[in-house]
Amino acid sequence: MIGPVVKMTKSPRARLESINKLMEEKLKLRLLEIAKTAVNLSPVDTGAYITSFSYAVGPGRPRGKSSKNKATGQSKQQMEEEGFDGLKSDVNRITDLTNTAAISLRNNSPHALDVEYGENWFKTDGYFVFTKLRNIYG
Amino acid sequence: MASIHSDIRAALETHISAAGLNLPTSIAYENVVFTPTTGTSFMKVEYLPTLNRPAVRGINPQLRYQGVFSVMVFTPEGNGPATADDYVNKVINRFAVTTDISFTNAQNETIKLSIDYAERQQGLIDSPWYYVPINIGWYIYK
Repeated sequence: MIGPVVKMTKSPRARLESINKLMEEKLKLRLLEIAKTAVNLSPVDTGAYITSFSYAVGPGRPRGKSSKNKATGQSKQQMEEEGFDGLKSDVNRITDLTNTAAISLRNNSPHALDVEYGENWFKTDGYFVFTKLRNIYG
Repeated sequence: MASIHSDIRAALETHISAAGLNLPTSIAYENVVFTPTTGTSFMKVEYLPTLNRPAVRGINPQLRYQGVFSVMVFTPEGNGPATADDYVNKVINRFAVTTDISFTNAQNETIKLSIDYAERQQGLIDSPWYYVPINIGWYIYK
């Protein structure tokens, strides 16, 4: 019979460890993919919103920057990188990813609701960043 | 051939503005000047496409389009949540999960749009309004 060859030389414990490692890598990639989409979907003016995302696994102070007194017209690319770097460092800080019950993506900038729903904005509609993320990643 | 996105938008907007639903008749559509009347409920709708991906492999594959139809129900501030909740329930029932919405465009092409979910969020105050966002997930294969 011709079929795929599966090598079974590793001990069950070693196999379990390599499966765990693989799962952790996959989870990490998924979190980074979500992070990348989040910053791609975010608008940039002062950069306060896009750099206020954080991944949290428990209590702790999430990032939250106000746009007050900040220069407007910032570079979208530069701010995207800064926002993504923050999320990347959060992912790398999570020590036991496969045994983590829940990870939440937050944006704690004071104008996060304005960005989401366009609340208090007169000309621009909301950007629905979290709504779109939920739709894409379920 | 009409754009699939215009057809999807029209299907969703026609579905929510149909007569006899007992929903607010004032609707703020995208990029249309709308001035709400203080003390009168209204809805704001937005079409948010998110994905357009091949559903199968191969050349000229069937495509899966998906996205969100955002409906925000605004009621006067300070009157409690009951009126908004009533409207929200009607919208959610109208776009119940697994509902299929048919729409025929001017070229006599019919699309059938499927509803994936209809979820409400918490109510928020945006003076002089109290509003509740509803996210309706849709998809279609074409």
